[in-house]
Amino acid sequence: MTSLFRSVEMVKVRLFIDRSAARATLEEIGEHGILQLEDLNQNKSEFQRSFSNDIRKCLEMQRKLRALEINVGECFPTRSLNNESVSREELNAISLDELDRHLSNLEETVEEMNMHWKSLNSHRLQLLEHHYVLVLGSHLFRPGYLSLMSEEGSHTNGVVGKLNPNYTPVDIESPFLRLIAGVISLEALPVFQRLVFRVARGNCLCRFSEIEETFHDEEKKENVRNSVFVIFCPGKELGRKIQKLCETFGAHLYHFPDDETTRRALLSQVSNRLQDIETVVGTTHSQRLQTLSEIGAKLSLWSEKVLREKAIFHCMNMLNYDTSRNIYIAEGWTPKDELEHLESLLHEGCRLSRAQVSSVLEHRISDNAPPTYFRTNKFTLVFQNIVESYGVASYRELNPACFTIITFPFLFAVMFGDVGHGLLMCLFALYLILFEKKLGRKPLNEILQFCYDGRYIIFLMGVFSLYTGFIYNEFFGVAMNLFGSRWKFNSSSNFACGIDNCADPSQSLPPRNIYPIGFDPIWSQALNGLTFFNSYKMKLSIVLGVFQMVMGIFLSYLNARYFQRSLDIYYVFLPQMIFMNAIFGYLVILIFVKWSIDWNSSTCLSNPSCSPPDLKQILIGMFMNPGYLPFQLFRGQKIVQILLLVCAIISVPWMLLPKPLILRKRYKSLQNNQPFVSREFRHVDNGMNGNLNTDHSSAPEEEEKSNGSSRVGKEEEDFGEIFVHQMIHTIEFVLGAVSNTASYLRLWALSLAHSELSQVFLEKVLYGAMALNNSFAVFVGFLVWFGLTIGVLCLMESLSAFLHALRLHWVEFQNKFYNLQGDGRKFVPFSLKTTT
Amino acid sequence: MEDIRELVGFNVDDGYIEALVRGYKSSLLSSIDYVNLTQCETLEDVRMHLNGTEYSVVLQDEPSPLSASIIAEKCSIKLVSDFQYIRSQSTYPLTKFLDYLTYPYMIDNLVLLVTGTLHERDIGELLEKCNPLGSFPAMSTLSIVSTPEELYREILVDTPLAPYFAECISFDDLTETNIEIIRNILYKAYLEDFYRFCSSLGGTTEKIMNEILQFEADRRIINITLNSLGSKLSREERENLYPSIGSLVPEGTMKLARAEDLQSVNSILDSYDLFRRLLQYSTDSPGKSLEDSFIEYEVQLSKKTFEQQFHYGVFYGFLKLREQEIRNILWICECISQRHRTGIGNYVTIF
Repeated sequence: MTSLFRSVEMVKVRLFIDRSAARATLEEIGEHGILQLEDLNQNKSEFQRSFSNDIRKCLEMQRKLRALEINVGECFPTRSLNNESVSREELNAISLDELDRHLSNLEETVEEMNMHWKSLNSHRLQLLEHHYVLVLGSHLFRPGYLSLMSEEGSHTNGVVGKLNPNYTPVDIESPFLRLIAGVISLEALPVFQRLVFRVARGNCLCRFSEIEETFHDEEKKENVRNSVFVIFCPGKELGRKIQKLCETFGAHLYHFPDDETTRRALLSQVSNRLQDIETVVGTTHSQRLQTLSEIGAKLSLWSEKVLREKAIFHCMNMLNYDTSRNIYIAEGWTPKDELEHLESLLHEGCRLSRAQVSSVLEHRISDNAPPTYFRTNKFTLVFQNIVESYGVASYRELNPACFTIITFPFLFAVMFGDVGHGLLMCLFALYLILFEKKLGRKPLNEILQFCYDGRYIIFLMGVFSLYTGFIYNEFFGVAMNLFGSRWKFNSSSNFACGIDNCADPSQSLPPRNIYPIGFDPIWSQALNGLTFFNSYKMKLSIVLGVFQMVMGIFLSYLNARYFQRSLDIYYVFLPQMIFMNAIFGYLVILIFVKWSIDWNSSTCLSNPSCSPPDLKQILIGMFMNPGYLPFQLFRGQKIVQILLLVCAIISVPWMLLPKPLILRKRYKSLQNNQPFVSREFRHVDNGMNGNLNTDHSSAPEEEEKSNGSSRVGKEEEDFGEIFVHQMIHTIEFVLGAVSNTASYLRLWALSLAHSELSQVFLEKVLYGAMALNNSFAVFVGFLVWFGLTIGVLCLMESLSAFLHALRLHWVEFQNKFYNLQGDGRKFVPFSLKTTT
Repeated sequence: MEDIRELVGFNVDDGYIEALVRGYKSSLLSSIDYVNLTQCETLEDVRMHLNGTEYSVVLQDEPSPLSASIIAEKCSIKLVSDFQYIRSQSTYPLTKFLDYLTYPYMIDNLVLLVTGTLHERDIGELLEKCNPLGSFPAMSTLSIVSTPEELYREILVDTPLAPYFAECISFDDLTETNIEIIRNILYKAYLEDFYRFCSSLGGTTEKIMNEILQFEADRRIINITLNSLGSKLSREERENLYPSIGSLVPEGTMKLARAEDLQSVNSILDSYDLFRRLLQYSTDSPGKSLEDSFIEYEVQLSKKTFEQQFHYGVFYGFLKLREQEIRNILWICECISQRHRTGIGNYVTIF
C-alpha cells in the first residue's frame, strides 16, 4: 500500500562492469527489470556507437527470419503462432553467431529450393499452356466452329478481320498466311487485341478462348487467368511484327502445327511429359513442405532470441567505458529496496561469464529528478493507468490512485444506481476475472480487450452499483418492496391516513417508523416522487463533491508537508481550505441541518414561519445581502454567516500575495550574499521535483551565489513568472470552487437520466406490450426491452457515467493537488520480458 | 468570394487528402537527418539511420549488401505508393490534377524507351529504368514502332499524351535529334495544357500553380536556348519549342530565339530580376551551375506551396520535395559508396 501512496524510493547507481561480463550482467538485469539505464552516449548518433555492428547483425537476422516466415506462411497459411513462452535455458543454448550462420544456410537452402520449385513450376506451366493451346486451338479452327462456340456459350472474342467467312482448313497451308498461337493473361488481353488490330490494320484473324483453369504465378504470387489466342495474318513482315508484339506483352508462343495429325501427335507427347512432370512436382512439393515445417517450428524461438539480443545490444550502446575500454560504465535508476538484488545480479553476471574483475556498484548523486515508480499489481494497475492518463506523478508525490480505487467506482455507482444493471455488470466482470488466464492468452478484439483490461474496475463499479441501486431502491427501474412500504396504511403503520387512502394528499403524514434502508418503494409511484428524488440526489451530489474536493485540498497539505514547503502550507493550503469550507463546507452543514429538522413535528406545523427554507437563497443571500436572513435554521446563524464571508474574502488575497512576495524577499537576501539557504525558492524554481537530498543540493547553491549577479535578469524574470503563476492559480481556485461544486451536480443529472430512462423503457416497452394481452407481443416487447436495457442502459449509460466519473477525478479532484508541475517521468526499466 | 468558396467547399472533397499530404510532408528528412546521413561510413549505416524514418518499411527487408541505386529505388517505391494512394483517394478535379503531375514522367519514359530501342537496347532493361509514376498501357510495346506516325497511331493514341503529339506526326523518322525535339514539343504542349487546366480551376490553386508553371516554362526556355546554342536548329525552329507561357514571353523569348552565344543569353536574362538573382547565385557559389540554382529555387517554390491552404499546389510541392529528397539520398549514398567525401555536402536541404 505504501508503494501506491507514494512512489518507490529510487537511487541512482553507477555500475562498473568488466568488459567480458557486460553482456551477461545486462541480460541478468534485463531478466528482472529493475534498472532504468540512462543513455551516456547521447551526443553520438545511432551508428557511431560501439555495438551498432551487432545491432546491424541482429537486424539482418531479423530480416532473414522475416523472409523465412513469409516462406513458411505461404506453405502453411493457417499456421498458428505458438505463443508459449520459451524457457531461458532454451534461449541460452543458442549462440548468436551459430544462429546467424544457421539462418544464412537456411536462407540459402530455401532460396535454392524456391528457385528449383519455380523453374519446375514454370516448366510445368509451359507444358500445360502448350496443352491448352493445342486443345483449345484446334477447337477454334474446326470448320463451322463459330456456330458451335456460340452454342456452347463459351467465351470468345469475336472475329477481327475481313477474312472470307467460308474459309477452309486448306487455307492454313497457304504460304502467305502465318499462324501464331500462344497464351496471354486475361488482363492484358483487351489492349493486346486492340494493338494487334492497329498493327495489322485489320488484316488478320484473331481467335481467343479463355482457359477455365487458373494458374498460380510464382513470381507475382497471385492467381492469373489466361487465354489462348490464335492469330492468322498474311505476310511475313506482319507476322514478325505481331510476334514481337506478343513478346512485349509477355505472351508465351507455342508451336501449333497446321495439320491435324501432327497436332494430335504433339498433343499426346505434351500430355505425357506433363504427367511426368506432375509427379516430380508432387514429390518436390512434399519435400518442400517438410523442410519448411521444420523451420516453422523453431521460428518463434529464434525470433525471440534475436529480439532479446538486440535489446541487450541496445542497452550496451548506452554504456560508457573507461579509457582502457576494459571496464564498462552504466548509469541508471533503481528502486532503493532492490539494491541488494541488483548487487546479487551483478555477481551472478560475473559468475556466469567468469570475468576476472568483479563488478562494482556505486551510488551516485544526481541533479535530475528520479523517475516515478509505483509497484502495481493486476488489480491496481488499471487505477494507476487512469490516474496516469492525466499525468505522471512527480517523484514521491502523493498518488491519487489509491483513493481512486474506492472513489471512482463509488461516484460511478451514484450515477448508475440500479441493482439489476449493477448485477449484470458484476456478472460480466466476474466472468472476465474468473477466466482471466484463459482470456489473457489469446488476442481479443479491441472492445473486449478494453473490458478485459478494466475487469477489476468494472467489477467494483458493479458492486457499488448494487449498493447504490439498493439505496435508490431500483431493480431494472422497478422499486423493490422488501420490507413493506411504510407509507401505506396497514396494521403495522401508525398513522390513519396514508397516500393510498387519503382523499386529500396534503393531509397524508409521513409514517412514524421509517423504511429500514433506502427509499420507500412507494416513492416511485407517488406524484411528488420525482421532486423528492431530485431534492435528495442534488443535495447528495453537493455533499459528495465538497467532501471529495476538501479531501483533495487536504492531500495538497500532505504533499507540502512531505516536501517541507512551509510556504505552500501557510499561504496556499490554509487559505484554500478556509475559502472552500467557508462557502461550500457551510452549505454542506446547512444541508445536514435541514435534513435533521423534523419539518412535520407538531411544534413546527403549528408555527406558520416554520417551513423548509431554500438553501440556494440562503447561500446567495450570504453574499448579496449579508445582514439579511429570511429564515433562521439555527441560533447565531447571522453572525456565523458574516464571519464566514469575511474569512472567505480575506483568504483570496492571502492566497494571492504572500507567497510570491516572500519568495522575492528571500531571493533579494540571497542576492545580498547573505548566507541564507532558500529551499523554497529552489523548489519552485526547479519545478516541484521534490529533491530531498539537502546534502548535495548545497553545491549548486554555492555556484548560484557566486555568479548570482550575472543571473539577475533571469531571476527577475522568474519572479514575474512565479507571480503570474500564483495569480492564475488563485483565480483558478476561486472560480473553480464554484464551478467545480456545480460540476458535481452531474452526479444528480446522470443518475436522474438513468432512472428515468430505465423507467420509460419499462413502462412504454415492457408494460405496453403486456397490456396488449398477446403472448407474442409480450415476447417481442420483452426482447426489445432487454435489448434496450443492455444496449442503452448497460453499455451506453455506463460509458457515459464512466466518462463523467473520470472527469470528476481528473478535473475536480486531482487539480487540487496532483501533478501541478507536470514534470514526472515514469520509471521504464530495461526488461527483456516486456521487449519480447 | 473565391476565398470563401474555397474555405467552405475545399474540405468536402479534398480535405482528407490535403491533410494526408501535409502529414507526408512533415515526415520529410530534416537537416539534422541529412547531417547524420553525411556522417555515415557505409551504406549499412545509412540504412540504420533511415530505419528511424518512414523509409524503414521499404528498406528493412532488403538483403545486404546494399547499393546506392537500390536504396534510391526502394525510396522511390515509397513515393510511388504514397502518390498512388493519394491518387486513389481523390475525386475530380483533383484526380485530373494528379494525372497531370504524372505526364512529365510519361514523356520521359516515352523518350527513354524510344531512344533505347533506337540503340537496340533490351526492352526489359529499359522498362526497369522507367519511372513507375509515368507508366502507361502498352508502354512495353514501344519497341515495335519505327516512325513517329506509327508511334502515334499504334501506341500514343491510347495515352493522355495523344493530343500533345499532333505537331510531331509530320516528322519522317525517329532520329536522336527528332526525339529530342519531340520531347520538347510534348513538354511544351503539356505545360500549356496544364497551365490552362490550373487557370480553369481558379482560386488559390491558380495563383500558386501558375507561378510554379511559369517558372517551369521559363526554365525550359532557358535550357532549350542553352542547349541549342551552336546547333543547326534555326531561329524559327527554336522559337517553336518555347512554351507560350512564362515571364519571358513574349519579349524574352523573341530575344532568346536570336541569341547566338552564352554571353548574349546572360545579358538578356539580366533584365529579369529573378534570373539575375539566380545567375548571380550560381556565379557566386563555386561548384554550382545555373541548373543547381534552378533546382534550389524550385524547392523554395515547392516549400512555399505549404504555406497556404485549400489549394492543389501542395500535391505538386510534395511530389517535387519527395523527389528531391530521393535525389539527395541517392547523392549521399553515391558519395559514400565511392568514397567521395568532399562533394557529399552538395545536396539540397529541404527543411
